[in-house]
Amino acid sequence: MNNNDIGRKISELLLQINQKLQHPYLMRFIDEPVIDEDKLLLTYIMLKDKELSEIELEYYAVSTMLVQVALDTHEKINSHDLTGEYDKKNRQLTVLAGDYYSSLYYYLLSEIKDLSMIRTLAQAIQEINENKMQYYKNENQSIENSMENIHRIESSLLLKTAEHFHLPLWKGIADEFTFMKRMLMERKSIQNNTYTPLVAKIMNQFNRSKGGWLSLKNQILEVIDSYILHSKIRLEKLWAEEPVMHLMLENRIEQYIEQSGFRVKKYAEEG
Amino acid sequence: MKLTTIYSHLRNDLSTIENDLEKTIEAQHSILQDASIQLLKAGGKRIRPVFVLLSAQFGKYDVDRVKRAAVALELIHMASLVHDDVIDDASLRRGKSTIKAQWDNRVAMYTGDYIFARSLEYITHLNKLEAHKVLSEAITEMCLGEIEQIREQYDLDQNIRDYFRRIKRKTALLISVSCELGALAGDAELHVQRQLKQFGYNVGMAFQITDDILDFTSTEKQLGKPAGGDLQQGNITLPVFFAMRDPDFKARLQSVFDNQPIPQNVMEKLIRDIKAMGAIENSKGISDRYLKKAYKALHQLPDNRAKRSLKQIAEYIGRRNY
Repeated sequence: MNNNDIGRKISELLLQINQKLQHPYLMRFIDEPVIDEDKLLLTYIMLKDKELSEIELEYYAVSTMLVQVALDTHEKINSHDLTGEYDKKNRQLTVLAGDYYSSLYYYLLSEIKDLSMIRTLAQAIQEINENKMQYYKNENQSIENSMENIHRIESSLLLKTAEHFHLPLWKGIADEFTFMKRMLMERKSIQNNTYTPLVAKIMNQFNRSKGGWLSLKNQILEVIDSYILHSKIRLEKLWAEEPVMHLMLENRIEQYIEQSGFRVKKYAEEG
Repeated sequence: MKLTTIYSHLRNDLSTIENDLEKTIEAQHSILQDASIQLLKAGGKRIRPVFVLLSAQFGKYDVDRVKRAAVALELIHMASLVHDDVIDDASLRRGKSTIKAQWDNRVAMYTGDYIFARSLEYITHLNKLEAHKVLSEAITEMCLGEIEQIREQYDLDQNIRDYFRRIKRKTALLISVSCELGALAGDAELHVQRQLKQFGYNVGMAFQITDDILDFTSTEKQLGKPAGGDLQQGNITLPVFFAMRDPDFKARLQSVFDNQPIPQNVMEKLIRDIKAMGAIENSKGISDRYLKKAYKALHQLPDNRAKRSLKQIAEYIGRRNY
């Protein structure tokens, strides 16, 4: 299977998932659900390593992504006071949309009678929510712990899937890829002076009395860059063991690196 | 007779269920753990586990097997309540602070998702493929039902059939599934499974209609929330459908809905009118019809203690006043 074939298959799967997500009334009020194409690609490529029928592969990839969309949908719920009718409905239906997408994963895997995969994804959901709670409710946690939470939040779904199908190499790739992408996104936000929860957590660990925002921003970027670099090195090692299928993923991560300014900065420093 | 007295002979097995509920929701994070425990300790009637246990007694009863369905169904119910409180922006449930009120919406979302996932993991140990088909379809339907409920809020042109479909998805389905899964887990014969499913559906419908009646007839103290709360949120329940047969009432209600929020004195007047128009008695009549169908389904089942308990529970539902 070449890159074009994979690209075509991913488009087909996106279409299938989108059809399941579409509910005319929900779509009038909630934000369009976003499917993480990188996670879909990772899931598809890793499962391609197994001797699965095309139908089975589709069921597993679609179910896994439904869980991801369900979790991402619930992540949009906040505690702001709402006064407008539209905002109120948006919140109510966002809760229900997440529940509905989550129910579809169980429904799909029940159709193919795979109790063990239902269990695997359920365990991943638990792990993700444990880590989300730690990340959300612990403002003073160390940078290291915050990063560990992000690792688990971003990768548990794919990691458990890789474990389920006995794909140790892909477990590592999924873990580092999803974490590195998140770090690159965080970096991009910081470059744009967006104050993310991670920025707040890192700032909490610094002595804020020294220097202004620019100096603080550079310190935060340094921290983020060190984690990006670490993941990059690990990924390169893992990719060396997987010489064929990783190329599409490598191209994608290169795009994120470029957008985040990570490489440019490093080259400039080296120059 | 109190509900707990009716199923007192299940005390030991319910205690097993309670222990497993507690074990299953154990979490590493203290808030996740505290929130889940708070939810568990808030009590509730445990009506779903009771239906599972009683239905399983029509087959080969083994509590270690049957509890897989009983615990999972209660957890699914609990998870849905945590998210419902976010949807309804509710601070109180059964007179106690909700998770979203004690912590916040985000904590409520994580807790609900966590408990739901725990329930699915737990029930996968029930190695009955048919059970998962039934349950997964029911959960999907329940979610669609809740979405429909929001779509139909404040809509006075909806049909009474919309109401019945809504309460089927909201309540009757999970009770029906409790009976069906209990029978399935106990390997009861197919015709027994079907009758128990029918029984559960009809009892569930009567249960929700009774709940909808009590929203108008109970006190705030009994409900743990203000009376008329459903109507305040724009939920058109059976007593309102009966009251709306009077075009003047319907026009007045429309005008009230058009000028929100609804002042307390206006709500009290609406409740008085609904009661005066015989809407409560008419609704009770419909609830009784569902209960009769439930008894009919029971009648087809072999005589045993579980059958007598199920009948008593149905009777209790018919006459409960809070």
